[in-house]
Amino acid sequence: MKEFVIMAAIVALAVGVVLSGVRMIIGPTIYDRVLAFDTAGLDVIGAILLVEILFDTGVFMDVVLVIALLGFLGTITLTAYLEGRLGD
Amino acid sequence: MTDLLIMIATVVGTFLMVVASLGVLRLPDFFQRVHPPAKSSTLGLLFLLIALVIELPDVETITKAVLAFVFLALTAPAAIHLLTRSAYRQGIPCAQDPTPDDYREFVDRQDKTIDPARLPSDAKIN
Repeated sequence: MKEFVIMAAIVALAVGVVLSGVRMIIGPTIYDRVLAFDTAGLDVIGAILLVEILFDTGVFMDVVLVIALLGFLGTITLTAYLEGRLGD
Repeated sequence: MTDLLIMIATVVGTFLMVVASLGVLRLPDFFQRVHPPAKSSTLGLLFLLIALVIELPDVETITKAVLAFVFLALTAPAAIHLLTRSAYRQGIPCAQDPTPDDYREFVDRQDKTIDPARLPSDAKIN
């Protein structure tokens, strides 16, 4: 029962990544694409947490931290690139 | 009992994260689309981390889960706020009339150029 619920949740998060990917493709501005990429990264983090629950292991927590850090840095870097400078 | 708690937290967190992705896809303009990943995804990750901590209640996992949540809850809304500010200054169009627009006066006082007609007349927002 628990395994089935967790697998269904992983599938649902994959559907969420696909929905964000559609926005990443059709997004009219570059800002929509960056935002959809950020959302997809958060969905991937959630799926990794569910895989950890499914396999009963904690070895992927470092992966979660690295993906969170790289997603934050990617969003900040793209924002600075789009604005042409950092800060005011 | 533990399995029931894990299932409830998993279902709630997954629901919030999928709703966030659906909102990013379906909401009408960029300034409404920034809300789901800033709020709903962060809360969904909190529920998924709670499920993980219930499943594996050892010191290492709890420490890393708390660290991951504090880091995500601090950085994800801040990054999306920076993105929204940059988008506002570039003049991304709104779907509705942004009448209580206090930040506009601030940007004008700083002598920043901004598109005066930020209205949905001819702008392609979907």
